[in-house]
Amino acid sequence: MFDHLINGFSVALQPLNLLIALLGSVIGTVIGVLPGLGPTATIAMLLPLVFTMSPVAAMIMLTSIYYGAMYGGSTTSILVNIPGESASVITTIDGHKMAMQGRAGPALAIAAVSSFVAGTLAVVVLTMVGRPVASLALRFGPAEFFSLMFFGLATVASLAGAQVGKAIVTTVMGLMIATVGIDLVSGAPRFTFGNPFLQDGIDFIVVAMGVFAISEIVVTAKEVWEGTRPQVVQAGNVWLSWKDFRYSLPSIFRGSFFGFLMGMLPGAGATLSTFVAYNVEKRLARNPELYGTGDIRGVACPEAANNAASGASLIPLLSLGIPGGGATAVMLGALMMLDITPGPMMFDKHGALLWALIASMYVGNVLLLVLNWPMVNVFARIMSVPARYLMPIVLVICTVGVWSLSSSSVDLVLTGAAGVLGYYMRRQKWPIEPLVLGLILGGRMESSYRQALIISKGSPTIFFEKPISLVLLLGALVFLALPPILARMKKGRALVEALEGGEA
Amino acid sequence: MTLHSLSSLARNAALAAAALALATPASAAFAPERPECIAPANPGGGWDTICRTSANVFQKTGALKSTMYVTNMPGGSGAVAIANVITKRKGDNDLLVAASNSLSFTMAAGRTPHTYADVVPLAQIAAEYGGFFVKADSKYKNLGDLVAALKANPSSVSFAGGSAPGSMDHIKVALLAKTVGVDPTKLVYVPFQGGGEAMTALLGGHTDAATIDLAEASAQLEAGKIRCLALMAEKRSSKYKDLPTTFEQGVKVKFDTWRGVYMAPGTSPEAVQFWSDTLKKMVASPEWNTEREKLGWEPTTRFGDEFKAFVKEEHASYKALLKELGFAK
Amino acid sequence: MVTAKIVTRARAEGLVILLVALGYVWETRNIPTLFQSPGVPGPAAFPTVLGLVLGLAGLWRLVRGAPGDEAAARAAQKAAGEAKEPAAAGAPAPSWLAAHGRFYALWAVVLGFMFFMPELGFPLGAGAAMLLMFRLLGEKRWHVSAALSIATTAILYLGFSKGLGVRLPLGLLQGLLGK
Repeated sequence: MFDHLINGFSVALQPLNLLIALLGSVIGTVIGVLPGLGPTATIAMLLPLVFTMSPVAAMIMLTSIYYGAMYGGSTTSILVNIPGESASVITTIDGHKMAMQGRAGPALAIAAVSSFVAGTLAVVVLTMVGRPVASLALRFGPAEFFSLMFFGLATVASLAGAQVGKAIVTTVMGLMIATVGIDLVSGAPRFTFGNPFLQDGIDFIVVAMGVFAISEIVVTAKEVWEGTRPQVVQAGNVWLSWKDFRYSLPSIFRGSFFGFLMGMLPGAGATLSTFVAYNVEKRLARNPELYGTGDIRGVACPEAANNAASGASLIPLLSLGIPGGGATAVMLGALMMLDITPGPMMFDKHGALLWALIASMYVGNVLLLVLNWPMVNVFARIMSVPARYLMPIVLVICTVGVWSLSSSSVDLVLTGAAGVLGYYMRRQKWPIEPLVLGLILGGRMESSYRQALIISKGSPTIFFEKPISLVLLLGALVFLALPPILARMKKGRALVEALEGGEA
Repeated sequence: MTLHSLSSLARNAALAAAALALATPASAAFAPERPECIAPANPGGGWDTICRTSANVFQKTGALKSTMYVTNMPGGSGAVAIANVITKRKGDNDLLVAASNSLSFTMAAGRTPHTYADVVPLAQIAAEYGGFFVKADSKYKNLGDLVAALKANPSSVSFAGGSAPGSMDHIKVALLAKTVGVDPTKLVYVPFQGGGEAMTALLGGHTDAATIDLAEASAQLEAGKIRCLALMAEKRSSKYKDLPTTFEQGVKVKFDTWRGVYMAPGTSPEAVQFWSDTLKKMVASPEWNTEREKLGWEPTTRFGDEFKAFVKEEHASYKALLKELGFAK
Repeated sequence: MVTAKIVTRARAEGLVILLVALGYVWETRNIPTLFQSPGVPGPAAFPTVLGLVLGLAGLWRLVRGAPGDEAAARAAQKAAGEAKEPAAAGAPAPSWLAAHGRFYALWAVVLGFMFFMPELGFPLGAGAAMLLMFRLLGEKRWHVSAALSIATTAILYLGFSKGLGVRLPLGLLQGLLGK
């Protein structure tokens, strides 16, 4: 295996391939950084570039664009509070707060570092056990998927704490938005009001650009008018301090673990892993109350998760030929055109190429870090662009992002409506993240549920008979039951401590 | 020979000559300024592949002066794109739109008010076979086993497919059932989001069989993870010659997935001629055929009136079929 | 002091949520039942459950209000009121237009841009929207706003349509350019 890997490196480190990887990372980052243009759109737009290349060069280009775009997506989360793709929604929570506290530099730097660590870990695992691990993903049938989605929603709903009622309402609203369009399982159009533009459902970008971008520009404007916009402190320390790094390292590892595990599963793996990782983190870590106030671990953990997930999503793509999501589906199409059919035969038929690709993923991770380290400084300066210039430009770019999805005016109208809703939710402190997660998971959750029941001919026991499914359902139960129990335990402990204190 | 017929002959000849004289410079004169191909789906699917592969071949062969842009316009299995093309892009001579049987189903099921009569069907540039696949260790060894199981109990075999009920993959099983005298409404068909997911369900043992396109199954076939019970065709595949067909196993049912393009209404005859010629040249080029081979597509083509008649007939037969299955009134 | 207000924001929200849920459940009746595997929930089942959950949540909020929220809001209002009091006493109360005009104008620009961009075209729509937004967000110099919006529009239009192949609508400009 190591011979293969060394051969791979000898190809990946050729000057031309190195240059291509560098180019791909730069282009991917630059386009991915534009709000509204996520990895899928970026790769699709840049596809014409790779058709003239050799298969090795093309694959290196595609993966480095993918990595670059994933990284770029979190930059907008941190700087302007607009997630570039669904997997960086969670990053907005602590990332943007950090930026407003003048810590944009460390936030971007930790995003780069945790992306690097998680990305590299993912490739290492991919190198070691790629093939056996891939067969794990096959165990996830409809029943298991339903339980996984349910588990994901349970962790989020349980997190809202005192706001659990509001979180349930917004989650359900997200799930409702997801039901718009042609129902996959029956083929029936739902809530489309006869409008063909609604038949394919409502895209994440359409809603996200409304609830995040439009609401952000109005909130910012209000702050500017009322003079309450916090002066972004230009901190002397732009880089990441060793202390911050040590502080977030455990979160990076935990995030990588969840990201890798869920990233392999087709569907919403990357996004779900960021939500679950962040929420588990908030439960397990020391002083959890700091999360959501601009804690650096709140950036490290989801960023590690989504990068580990994007590495892991290449496992089912390469070893089974099954794309895990939008971006990998586009890559699969491109590979087929290059006469590479990813699948079980990939290691035998295109071994040299595959190892070159794996080697280039190590290289790509290093390149991204090297590249983004100086870029942190440049991007952090965006924070000092006055909001009166920055926000209108951001809004226009978001609109282009929405338009690029399907050139549909219906999408733009929906984005506007989502903007009004998002603004109200932010003003009245309704949590937005559950809405987004419901929207992303809803379609898959419902269709998995019904697919499972078609297979079991209507018997709901299928969800309890399958071991993975059962474990996930029990896990969801624990998450829902845990907060009250923990609260009671804490109260008990406080009582004990008070008593002991009294005695001493 | 009468004078009349002679004069008519002469007139015809003159007309033909004039037409030729007109046609040649005209089609040479027409050149798309900003060629564009609309893929009525998200990147990565079959429609997208039609556009991107053609654009790629055009670029390699230099058939077009400028690069052909690919625009993705997903929505309603082609309903959004056709509505957009008819209302907003009327007379746009630079525009191609990818199409396949999926669009015929969208029309037949009444999910769009439009039919092929509202646009200019241009050409079929390739075909693809669908088939029935099981895991390598399945108890179904050939089509006969599967048919016997279905006859004994129509709901004893679960099929995974990559499209909603009433569309491509479901219709394939339904056609099979109908042909062997099994009630198609009693089948267990589990719809997934695309052939890839259907394949995952099959490999994971979550369903008994899968009904998907050959190209979607080829990687697993080559690896020996799955078995092809039958391709729904008369002739064997040109790339995978050892796969059995339905016809050779005595079940006379076939289903070709065609890949083609249409143009917007109101386009000039010169433009239609230009694109038709360009596509004819394309499907004959070695560059196209290497690409086509890679994708596992068959070299079945139809042009002009033949294609128009074909899609019209298909529309009628799908409509009847969907009615029978309870999908359309 | 606890004055139990009957009409509170939470109750109004509850009512809206309830109405949305009812409308949603009502609309499920328009979902056609097509081919259906026997004994399996159909296309309307999941939406119906969602509608019921949302409806119950709305009803709960409508009936119960949100005592916690109200108390917090009152406290916040009180604190804000105390902070603002001296300033408000000195200056005459600003007119509604001065206080809220900019807010609604900004919404009008943002939503107008979203709604009319396809017809206006990207260059005109984005240019005008940015010009107005720059102005609304506090850039008083027209020439700066104009120069910045024209430059940004040009860069974005060329970058996206030429560089990335996104077909942005020309809209009204299409007629002017005679194409």
